[in-house]
This record gives sequence, C-alpha cells and structure tokens, in this order.
Amino acid sequence: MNQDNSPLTSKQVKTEVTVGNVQLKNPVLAASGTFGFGAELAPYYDLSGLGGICTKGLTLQPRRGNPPPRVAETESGMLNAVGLQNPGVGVFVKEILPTMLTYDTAIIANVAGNSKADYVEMVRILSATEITALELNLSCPNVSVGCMSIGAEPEQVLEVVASCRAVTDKPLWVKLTPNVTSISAVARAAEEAGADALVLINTLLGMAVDLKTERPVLRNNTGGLSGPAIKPIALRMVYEAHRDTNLPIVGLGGIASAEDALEFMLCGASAVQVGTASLIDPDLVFRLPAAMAAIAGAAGHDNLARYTGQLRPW
Amino acid sequence: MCQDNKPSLRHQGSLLGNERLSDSTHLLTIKAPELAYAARPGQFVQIKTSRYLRRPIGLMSVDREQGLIQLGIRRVGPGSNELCDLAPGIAVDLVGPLGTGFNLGLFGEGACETGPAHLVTVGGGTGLFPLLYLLEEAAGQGIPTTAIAGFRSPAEAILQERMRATAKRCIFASDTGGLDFTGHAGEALTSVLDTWHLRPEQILICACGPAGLLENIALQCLERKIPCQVSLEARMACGIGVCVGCSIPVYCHNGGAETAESETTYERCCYDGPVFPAARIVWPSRGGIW
Repeated sequence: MNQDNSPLTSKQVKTEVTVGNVQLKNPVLAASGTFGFGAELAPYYDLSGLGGICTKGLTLQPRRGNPPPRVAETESGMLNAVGLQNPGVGVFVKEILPTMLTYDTAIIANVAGNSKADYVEMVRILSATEITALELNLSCPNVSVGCMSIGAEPEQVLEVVASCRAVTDKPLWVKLTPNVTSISAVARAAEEAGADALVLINTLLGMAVDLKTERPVLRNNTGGLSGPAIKPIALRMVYEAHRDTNLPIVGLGGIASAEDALEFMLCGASAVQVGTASLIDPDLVFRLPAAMAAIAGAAGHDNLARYTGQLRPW
Repeated sequence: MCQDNKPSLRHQGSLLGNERLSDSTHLLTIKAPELAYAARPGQFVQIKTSRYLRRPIGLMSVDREQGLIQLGIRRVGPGSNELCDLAPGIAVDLVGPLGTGFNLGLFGEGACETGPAHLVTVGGGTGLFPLLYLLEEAAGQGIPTTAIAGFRSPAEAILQERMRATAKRCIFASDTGGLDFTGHAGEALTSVLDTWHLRPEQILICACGPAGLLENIALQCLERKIPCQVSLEARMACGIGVCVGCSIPVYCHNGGAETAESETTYERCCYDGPVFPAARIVWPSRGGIW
C-alpha cells in the first residue's frame, strides 16, 4: 500500500513475486498442456512477458497419447483426455529446451511418470539442465498408471516426492489432483517430503455422453474437466492447502481474468497459471500481468505480492 | 493484441454481410485486413461465440486488396446456428489464419517440363468452402482446374455460379440426380479419371468433405498414384497447436497396409493440418480413428 492509499497506475505496481526461492517477473504462468513448449505462440507474442512457462507433461519415453476424440466441450469448460502425448524427456532436453531457454522467462518442466523410478530418473535428467524448476505431475487423470493414481494417495505422494527431493536441488513443485477427499492430506504429504511449492489444481475427472451414439464422447470414456466450471473448487482447495501447510502455492483452475487471478492470490496463491483460457483467448496470459497491476493500483496497492493469503474468512 | 511488430493472431473483424445460401448454410463476409493478408487456401479461423470453445471455420474466399474474408457456415449445432444468425455490423472475435493449408507448390511436381499441370478439387457439403478458395488461388496462378462438387440433392447445390466462374470445368453431382452426374463426388471423380488424358504426375487432387468421401477419394488416388491432399476435420479445442486435442493418425513414413501401430503417430489437425497428403493418413479401413 502506498502511504496515502491513493490510486496508482499499473506501471507503478510492482509485479514481481516469489514462489519459495524462485523469483518470477510476474505471477502469471502458462499452465502445462495448454501452451505446448511455446513454439506455436512465439511467432505472435513476446514470451518474455510471461512469469513462466510450464511445459507439456514430459514422460521418460516418448508417448503417443490416447486415441481421439480427445476433447469435448462442456458447459463453462471442456474435457480432455490427451493422455500425455509428448516426445519424451530426452528429445525435450536435446531439441526443445535450448529454444525455450532463449525466451527469457522461467521454464518449469512438468514431469509425469508411470512409477516412482520414472519420476526420479526424469528429475535426475532435468536437474542437469538450466530449467528454473520441476513440476511433478502427480495428477494427470488420463493415463492408466502413475500420475493421479499416485497423487491421490498421501503415502505415495510422500514416497515419490521424497525420492525426487533426494536427487535434486532444483525447486520442486508438486502438482496435485483435486480428485481426493482431502486436499490437505496430500498437500501435507508433499510438504513433509520436502516439496518447495504446491501447484493446484489439475483437472477434475469427468465424462461427456453422446445421446445419438449412446457412447461417451471421449474415446478414453473419461477425461479431465477444466475451465471456469472448476474455479470455485480450485479456490477452495488453494484456500485449504494454504491454511494447512506452510508451502507457497501456485494456483490454477478456470482462471480467465485478472480478477480471477487475484482471487486465487487472496486464497493463498503466490502465483497463478492460466490453462484452458489460453485455448480460447491466446492473448490472455500476456495481458493479465498488466491487468492485475491495474486493479491493484486502482485499489492503492503498489505490489501484487501483497494479495497472497490476504483473504479474510468469516 | 500486437506485440513488437509480430503478426497478430487474434483479430477484431467487422461483419459486413450475412448471405443465406440455402436452408442450412450461410456466407459471412468479414472485414479483417491483417488476417486476409496472411491467409492461404486451406487455412481456417477460430470464431468466438457464446459457447465455451471457439468454432473452427475454413476460409472460403479472401480478398486481400479489400481486406475481406468469407466464411461458409452450415447449421450443425448451437455455435454454428449463432454464427448463421449474426447481424451485419457487429464485431467478430477471430483467431487466425490457422493451420497448414493446401500446397500448390507441390503441384505437378516433375510435370512442368512435360505438360500443363491440372488441379482437380473434389468436395461435398461444407468441404466445398475451402476448395473454392483454392480454386480462386489456382485460377490466379493460371493453373487449369476442374471442380467436382457433390450434393445430397439439387436443392442443396450451393455455390454453383461461383465455381463455374472460377474453375475451367465443373461437374456437379447429386445423389438424387438432376445435376451433371448422379452419384456422390467420389464416383464422379472415378468417371473423370477413367477418361483422363493426363498422366498421374501431371494432376493434383485436393479434397475436402465428409470423412467417408475423403477416404474414397484418397484410396482412388493412391491406387492411381495421383498426388492427393485432403483437408480433414476433427474435434478441436485450441486450433493453435498447443493442446494436442485434435489428433489425426498418420504414418511416420510412407505407410502401407501392413504398417504396424508403432510406425504410426498422431499429428495435430489444427497445426500440422488440416490439410495432409492423403498417403500419410491412417484411414479408417486401415484402423485409423479420429
């Protein structure tokens, strides 16, 4: 807050935030799986305007992904069951990362494993690179083993995160699934295991049905629900994880405006990710930092970091 | 949103006209100069409606000098209904031009020395829209063209005048008769190719339409060794290549009936396509799904 609480312009508002020991130029990151590796949008946008880019989920071996259809529109959102199609961590390190490192923004490598050994091996490989941080994807709902089946069990979260912690000094972010009864239980497990930050939420398991064919729309039958439909759930989970752990939080789930992003920060997020909204409005993630600063400035605040955890619950 | 002299991806267009072509199809004319300037045949735009996801619509025609694009839209659901009902004068939120379009550069490869190359477009339904743009482009380059267009019935036979004005030769086919050819567009193509005087390598066939028709055309072309490009449709979310939602099964190499799954992969309809060489597609008869 500036001294006299008078309105400030967006340029007078400090946008820098920290997530643990990671410094970001602003709190807005592109979420995994909704921004590729940046190459498709780099011809049109200056990617250095982002707080960071979370890569498409990487696996130890290349993955062809699920058979189509992989996406379905829903009310206020969409379902996806892409199934982690990606070129594998080896190709990423050799052929993709060098270009990403030229973007002058934080690069967060999202890794998804079938097993603890997969995660540890990928963390080991990526720790030898110039990436900013690792995002352990313990939450993809669209694969038959690993990911969400690990992330839904606090004991397994503890084991996988601790094993990864043992082999890396890189900031270790853990992306959690909302498909649990208690987000606090898995959040505390990640904290106990030595995570540096929590990322939440990934998609909610859902389904769409085609009445004409009497089949699910998605070939995978089920998929992950994202978009504005899940924002209230995400806000509640960010709030609970912030209340019940001491870890910094990166919040996501249905963010489509500067107001949405600041609401997540109030609930406890130090930074936010924009995911599905980028599929509809590719400009949004680039506009958000200034739009958030404009709101903060109008309220007389001279920085965005002050919003984190300032919610006043009844 | 323009950044540092980079081209814009998102455009605010202005709807100048909305013409009803038939009971189920409309033609929108939109002023969007930067988009028009960058567009190529076979590319598409993503239009915002009140529905959650944008709607991908193939470019039907582009006037670079006037800064206009035209889009043909068929009523298939709430999103397309909304677009067909738009009133001229309103702003239209567009992302584009998107995707990899038709490649006239491959046209008549190796044929230049031996004779004139010839473009044959084959389409049905909304597939005719992107082909019209391709025909106009080919005409501008002085390439002789044949347009084969299939309709369910003469009452649905849209765009005939424009195709006649653009293509050197037109064959309109209808399942119910009453036009030049009775049968579907694939059968009309067969009859044309059976009496064709050019060698396969002198022809390029470009097709767009229902998946069954495209497979029929593609298999004919593979059999006759005629270069063929197809424009495909898939359930799409982003349209810009980042979500990997709209996968098309393709052969990693040249393919063939005996190819194992490990030699196939998925490519993005929105970014690697929507136009693909027909020989690369794992067609449904060979186990492909999309």
